[in-house]
Amino acid sequence: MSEKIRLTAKIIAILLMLTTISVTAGGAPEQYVYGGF
Amino acid sequence: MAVFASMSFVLVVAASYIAVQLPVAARRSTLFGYVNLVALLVLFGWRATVSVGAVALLYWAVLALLTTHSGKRVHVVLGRLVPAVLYGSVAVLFVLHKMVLEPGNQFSGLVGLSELSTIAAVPAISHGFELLQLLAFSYVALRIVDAIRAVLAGERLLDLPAFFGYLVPFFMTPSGPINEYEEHVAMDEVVREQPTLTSFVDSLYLIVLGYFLKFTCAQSLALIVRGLSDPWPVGSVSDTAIFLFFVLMEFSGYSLIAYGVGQLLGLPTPMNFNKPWRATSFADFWTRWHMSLGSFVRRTMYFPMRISLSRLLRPDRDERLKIHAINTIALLTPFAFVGVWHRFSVIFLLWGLAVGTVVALETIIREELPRSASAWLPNWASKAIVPVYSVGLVVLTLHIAMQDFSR
Repeated sequence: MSEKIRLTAKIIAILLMLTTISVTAGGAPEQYVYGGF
Repeated sequence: MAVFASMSFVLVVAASYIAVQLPVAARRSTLFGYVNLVALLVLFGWRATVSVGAVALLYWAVLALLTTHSGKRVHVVLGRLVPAVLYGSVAVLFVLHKMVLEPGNQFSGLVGLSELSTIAAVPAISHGFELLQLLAFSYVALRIVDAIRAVLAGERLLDLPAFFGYLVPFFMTPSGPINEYEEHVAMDEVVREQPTLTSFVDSLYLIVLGYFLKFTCAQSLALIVRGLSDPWPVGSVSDTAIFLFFVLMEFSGYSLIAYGVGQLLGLPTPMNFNKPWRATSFADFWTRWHMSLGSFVRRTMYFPMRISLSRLLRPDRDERLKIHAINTIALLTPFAFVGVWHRFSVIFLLWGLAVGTVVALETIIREELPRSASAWLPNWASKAIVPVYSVGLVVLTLHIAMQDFSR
């Protein structure tokens, strides 16, 4: 896999993950975002 | 732990990325020290920064005094006393911090610790440690120990801003990892590589993956299992197995964010996880899980203790019992420490001892049996059974400690 394809794949993955994070955690109650063990 | 979830953190990382590229005539560790100081002030406020800065200044001044006089003849008693006092003082600070953090702990009635418990209840001291806890003092204390160990062994003492930057790196405050003092010093000897699009995207990918693991995967699982505010269920072993999976996602998420920011800023930041589900033994699991803590206890506790005991007892090569006894004691001590470091309770102390005992038993079996247990099995069976055994045993030992998490 060429460097250009690898970078493009990573950029797409970053955008997809950011979209998912904003949908799942964006604007969620504080306990949901901050909660840990 | 909330700092990663704030927009301020993202902006501080972006500003730090620009700042560390500045062409200034200063060591990399010093430049980061100043950048980090500003980052701490922005993210945690001046009170917490000044509190932890005072602790850093105290230890830096003592180490500076010691290194200044290192070429001179120091009385042999003094030479042994100073490390003991330094390490002892960190232990006292750590216990005080635990007393404040976990006031109802089961050790506060013990001789010596009850006095510390009384001191910890003094409002001014209690408030001071609450400020230190904003910057995860349990990690700072471990870095102080590592700095003392390295400097007393002859490593260069960083200047004060750089020393502060090593002890309290802003992006490692929520959950580590524990960076090694020598690696932080060594970055001054290496010319920083010019940032490229590839290195930027690679670092950004790690950071976003960390956020995804923590804030989407781990939190979604937690929401399904326990809802918004219920305690984690601890009744069965399967509850513990799910909890272990949750911790893997959450903790590796935090660690990846820190690792990615470290890569972005060109700072030595250790990896904390290496596919623990592929462990080839119970002991191997603990070299793949929270690796920076494992590495810390190996270099500061296990190896020094094993070497000291071996020098004291001088076992011959055929005195297997003595050799195994030395190794077992050297193993149990760091694991017991790891137990109470996680939580200051008898249950966690027992958990640490249980883990250490199994690791010691595995070592004895591996060294005394002519062939390893897995060698008796066909390759496919070994590949299938060994991870189940390793992770299964981790779940069973963790189940001991789980009752404490429900409190």
